Amino acid sequence: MGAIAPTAPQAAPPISLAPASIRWRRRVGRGARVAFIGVTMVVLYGPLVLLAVFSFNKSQIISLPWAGFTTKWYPEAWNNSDLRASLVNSTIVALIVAPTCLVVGTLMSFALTRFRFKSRGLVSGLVAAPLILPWLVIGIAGLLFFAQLQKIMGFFHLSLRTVVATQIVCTFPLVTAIVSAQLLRFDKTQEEAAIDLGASRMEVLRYVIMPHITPALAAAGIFAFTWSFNNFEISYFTIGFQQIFPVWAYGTLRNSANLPVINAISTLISAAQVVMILFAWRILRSRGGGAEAILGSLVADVEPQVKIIEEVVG
Amino acid sequence: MSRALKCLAATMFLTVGAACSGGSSASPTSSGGAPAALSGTLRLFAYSDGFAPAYIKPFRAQYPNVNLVTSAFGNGDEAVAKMQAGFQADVVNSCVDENTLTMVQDGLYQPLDLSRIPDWKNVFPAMKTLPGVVVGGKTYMIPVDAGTAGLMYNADVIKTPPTSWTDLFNPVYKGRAAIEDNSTTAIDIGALANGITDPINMTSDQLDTVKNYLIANKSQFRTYWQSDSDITSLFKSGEVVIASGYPGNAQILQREGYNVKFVPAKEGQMLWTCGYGIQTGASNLDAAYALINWYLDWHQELFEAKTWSYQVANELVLKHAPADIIQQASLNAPYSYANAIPASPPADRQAWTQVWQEVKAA
Repeated sequence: MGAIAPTAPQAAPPISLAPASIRWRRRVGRGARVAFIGVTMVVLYGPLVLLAVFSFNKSQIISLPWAGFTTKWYPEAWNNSDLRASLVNSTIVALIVAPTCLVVGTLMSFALTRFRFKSRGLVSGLVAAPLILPWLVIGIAGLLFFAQLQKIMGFFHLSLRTVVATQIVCTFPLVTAIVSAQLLRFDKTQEEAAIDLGASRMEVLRYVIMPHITPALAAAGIFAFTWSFNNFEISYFTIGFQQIFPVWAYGTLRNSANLPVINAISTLISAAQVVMILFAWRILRSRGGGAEAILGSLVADVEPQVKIIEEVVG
Repeated sequence: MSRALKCLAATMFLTVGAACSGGSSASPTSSGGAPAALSGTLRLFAYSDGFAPAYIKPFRAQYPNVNLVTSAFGNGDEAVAKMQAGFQADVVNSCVDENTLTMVQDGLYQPLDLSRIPDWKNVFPAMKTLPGVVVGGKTYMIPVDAGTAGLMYNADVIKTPPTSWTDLFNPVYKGRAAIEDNSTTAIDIGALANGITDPINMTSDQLDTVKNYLIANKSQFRTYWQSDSDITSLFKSGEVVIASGYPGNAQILQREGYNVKFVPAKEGQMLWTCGYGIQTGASNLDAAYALINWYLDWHQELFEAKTWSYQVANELVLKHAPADIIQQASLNAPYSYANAIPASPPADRQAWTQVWQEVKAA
């Protein structure tokens, strides 16, 4: 065997530069992306940042120039008994509405995605209706309904109970949409394989399906809670003589002297909601879900609605 | 599992029931007399001022056995819509320039027994004749507070005080003026600035003239303001130097050190008047009359004058109010201003609303 002559080291290929027009287009594209994200962030979070900043302004008038730093609006908010009662009521309502909607909405999503029955299209349409109807209309309709019920039955007064009932009707379709999206993407052969291997229905639900839909349930739960807590239109018409936070804030905003207090409490609520979402996020990440799973659930939210609309239309 | 589900369902049902109890009206257990003898739930439907914690606190203290529950509305039309849909209260707040007459005509207010309102004799006579207060010889609403719309201006910028509604349309202030986003007030102002002396009874031709005038001068206005938060912010930021407004708006700014003043306009001022009546179907009449009497009492009237610079209905306040409060809130002059236009709904309110929408959309 002859020795192999060493080959001369090859020169590194010259770095190919894209034509100037492509570089220009890339730069414009990058700039447009940054501008889009910047504008989106400002529009989304700008008002919240302003809200927080002005909650530390000494002036009662929410406008520049800055009148000096103060934290006095926070204790003032805390000492307002009406405000405290409204927050407690809002929390109670949301704590009842969110889990109830999770149960009802998930059961409904199983019914719509796992079974074929005669009136499935009609049921799908009815479930989707509250997502399409304006909440104001639902609120007024709720008031008319409960007022008539009170006249007929004599005991069904407008109260937190009527708010809870109406909010459940309007919120569980959201859960159904989110969970259905996840179920539609779920490979049913996994279920069948589990059953073939001797798993019971409950075991399939617990060990095969639940791990798959947990991120969707978490996302749906967060949405249901915040929808309920922040809801004004439905609550305003169906509440009677108790206060929940959005209704209290609406009535109180009439007087500008109350604005800093509303700013302060709104800042705290926004912070609490961010903490809640971060907390849920961390739990999901630790369980193997996380950002992709949650966002996947939310994006896929559109899928079942399109399917439902297709079924209703034709 | 089925048992567990049943338990869960039962727990949720009980939780809902327990957490949501309340809001229903209990029957009163007394027919009047001493405050402590009154009891039961009393339902108040009002602007939020009407049950501001500092304002209503003495009522709760005076009537410890009355469970006063409250609900707020944002404007009179909204309140009427809600009541027509079946919302039931005992005492309801209304304003003459908004919905008092509508409430009477729609049967939402019940006639009041004036023998149960001792301070009625002390109400300024001019207030007793307002539309909706007395209809067909029956009294439906007890006026409690009032106020006047006039001109607000930044005295640091405008050295010669404005005197006329036409000053609001002076081209010198183009883009730095503001007008209230309220069809009645805005059209009244447009009419008075055009020399129409009786705006409430305008003909349709006059209404068209006002509409065209407001549209032609639209660029005069930086914005149409909706709440006192809006108007105070606009003056504070310097965006606006002249506007239609109320004494209370100017006082908020003055408390913060801004040289913003209020003056009545020479052509006439729009006066608003609000008060309380009892809704048809009210269940706790004794407590309802107690609350109306409490609102009309001079102590509470003085609180309103001091806190919000409102004019008040009870003449007795003049005997007890300090001179500076009488001057600040014009307590001695309700409805006695020259050229005053008492608050009244226009005959064709719908046409006015339509015109104002057209002006805003132009």
